Amino acid sequence: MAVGTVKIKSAGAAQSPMLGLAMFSPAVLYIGLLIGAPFLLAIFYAFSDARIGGGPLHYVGLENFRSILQSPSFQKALTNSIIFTIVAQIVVIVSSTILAIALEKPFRGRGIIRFLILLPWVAPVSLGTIGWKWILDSIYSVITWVLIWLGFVSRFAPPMWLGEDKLAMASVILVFCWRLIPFSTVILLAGLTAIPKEIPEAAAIDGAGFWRTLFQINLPMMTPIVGVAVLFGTVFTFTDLAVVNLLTNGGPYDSTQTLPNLAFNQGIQGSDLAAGAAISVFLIPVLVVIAYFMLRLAHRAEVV
Amino acid sequence: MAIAAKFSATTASAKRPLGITVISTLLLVAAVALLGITLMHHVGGLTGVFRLVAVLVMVLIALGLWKLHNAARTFLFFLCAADVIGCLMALFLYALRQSHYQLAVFLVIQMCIAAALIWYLRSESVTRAFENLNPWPTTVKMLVLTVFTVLLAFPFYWMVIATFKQNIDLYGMENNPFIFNLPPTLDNLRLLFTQTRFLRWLENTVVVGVIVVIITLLLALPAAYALARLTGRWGERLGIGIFLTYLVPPTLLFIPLSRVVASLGLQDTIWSLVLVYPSITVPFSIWLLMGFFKSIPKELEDAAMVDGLTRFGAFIKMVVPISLSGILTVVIFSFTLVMQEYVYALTFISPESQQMVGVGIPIFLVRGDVYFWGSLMAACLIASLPIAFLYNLFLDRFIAGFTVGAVKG
Repeated sequence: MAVGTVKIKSAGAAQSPMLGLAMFSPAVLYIGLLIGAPFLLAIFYAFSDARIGGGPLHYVGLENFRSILQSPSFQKALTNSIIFTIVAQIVVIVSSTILAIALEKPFRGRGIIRFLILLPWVAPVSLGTIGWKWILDSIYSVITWVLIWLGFVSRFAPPMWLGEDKLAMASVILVFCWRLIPFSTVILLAGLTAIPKEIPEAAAIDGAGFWRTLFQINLPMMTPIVGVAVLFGTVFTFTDLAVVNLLTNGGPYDSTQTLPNLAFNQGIQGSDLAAGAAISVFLIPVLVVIAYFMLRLAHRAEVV
Repeated sequence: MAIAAKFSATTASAKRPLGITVISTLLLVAAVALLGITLMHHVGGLTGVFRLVAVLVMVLIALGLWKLHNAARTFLFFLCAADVIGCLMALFLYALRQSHYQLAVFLVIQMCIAAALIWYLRSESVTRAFENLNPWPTTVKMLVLTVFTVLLAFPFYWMVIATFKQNIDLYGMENNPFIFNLPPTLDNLRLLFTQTRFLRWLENTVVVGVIVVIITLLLALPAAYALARLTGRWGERLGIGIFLTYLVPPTLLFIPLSRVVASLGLQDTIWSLVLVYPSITVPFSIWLLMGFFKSIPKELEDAAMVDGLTRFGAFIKMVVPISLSGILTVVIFSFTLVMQEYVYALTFISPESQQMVGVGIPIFLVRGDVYFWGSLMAACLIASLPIAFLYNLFLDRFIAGFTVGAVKG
C-alpha cells in the first residue's frame, strides 16, 4: 500500500508540476495573506504603539511588554488561562474516556444518545454559553433553586455563581468542560473503534476480564488518540474568547480574566491595539508546543 | 465469547425460573392497574403521557422477561440500580436532612425491594436461564450514559422550557422551575420574530455562510487535489503545514485583522466576515479533501486522460463528481464554523442590523441590564438545532479530519 502511493505520487509529480502549482497557489496565497501576514503583524504590533483609528506606527521596543507584565490584570489572566486549561483538560479526558467506553458498542438508541451528547459541541459556543448564563443567573438560577429546596443554602443568601471569585472560576471551568467533553468523546470513540477487535477478543479468551482488558489493552492503545484530544482541547480552551467574554467578562475583579478576553478588552474596547497584541502574543508559546506535538503525531502515523 | 453464549443457550433451554414468571405477571398486573387508574381519572397533559409511557415500559419488560430476553432483564436490572441510587440520594440529601421521616421510611422500603430484585436477577438460577450473561457491565454503561446525557443536554432542555414558559412562570421564585406551572405560551417566540432583528441576523448568517462556502470550495478543492496528486513528497509536508495553520486561533489574529478590515473600509459590514472567514475554513477543508482524494483510485483519471481529457479536465469531470460526499462534508463544516464563530463577528461589526446570530443573540437581545430570557433561549435553540442535525450526519468525516491520521480507520 505504502509503496503504491509513493509510486503514484512520484508519477503525478513528474507529470504536471506547473498545474499543481497553479492549483494550490491561490489557497496558499490566501492563507499567507490572511493568516501568515496578520500573525507577523500581531508580533509587530506588540512592539509598536498601534491604536484604533490608524496613524503612523512607531517602534517602541519592549515598552508594551513592560507595562502589561506589571499589570495585575495580566498576571491574573495568564495564571487563569493556564489553570482553566489544565483543570478542564483533566476533567474532560477522564469523563470522555469513560463516556467513549460506554458508547463504544452499538446499541439501540445510540444515535439519539450521541446526538444529545454532541449538542454542546455543535451548538454555537456563544449560544451555549448564554444558556449557562441563564442557568447560573444570580436570582433565577435553577441550581440555586434546587439547593434551596434541598435546604443546603438559605433563600436570603443565595450563592452568586458568577459573582464570587471561586464560584465564578468554577463556573467558567464547568462551561469549558461541558463544551469539550462531547468533542473529546467522539475523537476517543474513533480511536476505540479503530483498535483491532482481535486483540481484546484474544485477551478475553485468555481469561482477561473487563477491567484488565480495559487497563492493559484498550487504554494503552488509546494513548495517541488521547494525545490528539488533549492537543485540540488545549488549543480550544486556551484561546477561547466567547465563554469568558459572555459569562463573566473576566469579572468579578479579574478573577476569571483570561488572555484572549484581556486582549479583547484592552485591544479593541480600550482601543490600545498594541497592548492587546502584546497580550495575545503570549498565546504563541503554547501554540508552538501544540504544533510540535501535532507534527510528531502526524509523523508517527505516516511511519507506522 | 459469543460462541459460548450460544452454546449455553441451547443447553440451558428455555426453562423459566418461577421468580421470573411471578415478576413478569406482577408487572403486567401493575401495568394494567396503572392504565385503568389513568383512564378512569382522565389524567391529562404531561402526567397522562408519562403514565402511558410507564405502562408501555412495564408491559415491554414483562413480556421480555416472560420470553427470557436478556435485554429485558438487563433493563429491569438497570432500573433497579438507578432506583437504589435515586433513593439513597433522596434519603440523605432530602428526607433525613429535612426530618421527613415518613418519606425516609418509604424510601428505605423502596430501596430494599429494588436491592432484593437486583440480588434475585443476579442469582445463579436466573443467570443460567438468561444464557449466563452478566447484567452488570451493560447496567454500569447505561448509568454512565444516563448521567452524562442528562448533564450535557440539560442546558438545551432548559432552553426548551424557557422558550415556552410565560414570563410570570419563568420569573416566579416559588414555582418549580422544571415544569410548566402555567400553560405554555408562544409569546417569547412572537417577541423574538416581531420585536427583534433575529430574522435579519439569520439572513446575514446564511448570506455570509453561503458565500464563504463557495469561496472555500473554490480555494480548497484545487489545492487539495494538487497536494494529494500532483506535487509529490513535499505536497504532503505542505499539507501538514496548512493543517497547522488551522491551529492559529482568531484570538491571536483579530487585533491586526481589525486594522486591516478598517483600512479596507469593510468595517461594520458582513463583507469583512466574508473576507476573513475562509481563513478558518480553508485549511481544515484542504486537509479533509486531501484525505478524500487520496482514497480515489488514480486509474480513474488516467482512463479519462487517455480518452482525451486534460488533467484539469479529468479533475473537474471525473474526480469532483465522485467526491460529492467529501464536498458536502466541507460545505457543512464551513457553514457550521461560520455560525459558531464569535471573535471576528464581535470585533469587526458593531451595528445591530449587520450582526450574525452568534453575536446578535447574546449581545443585542439584552436591553440595558434586562435580559429577555424567554426569547434569548428561543433564539439559541432555533439557531443551534439545525446545525446540530447537519453536523451529526457528517460527524464521522469531521472526526477523520481531526484525528490527523493517528487513527487508521
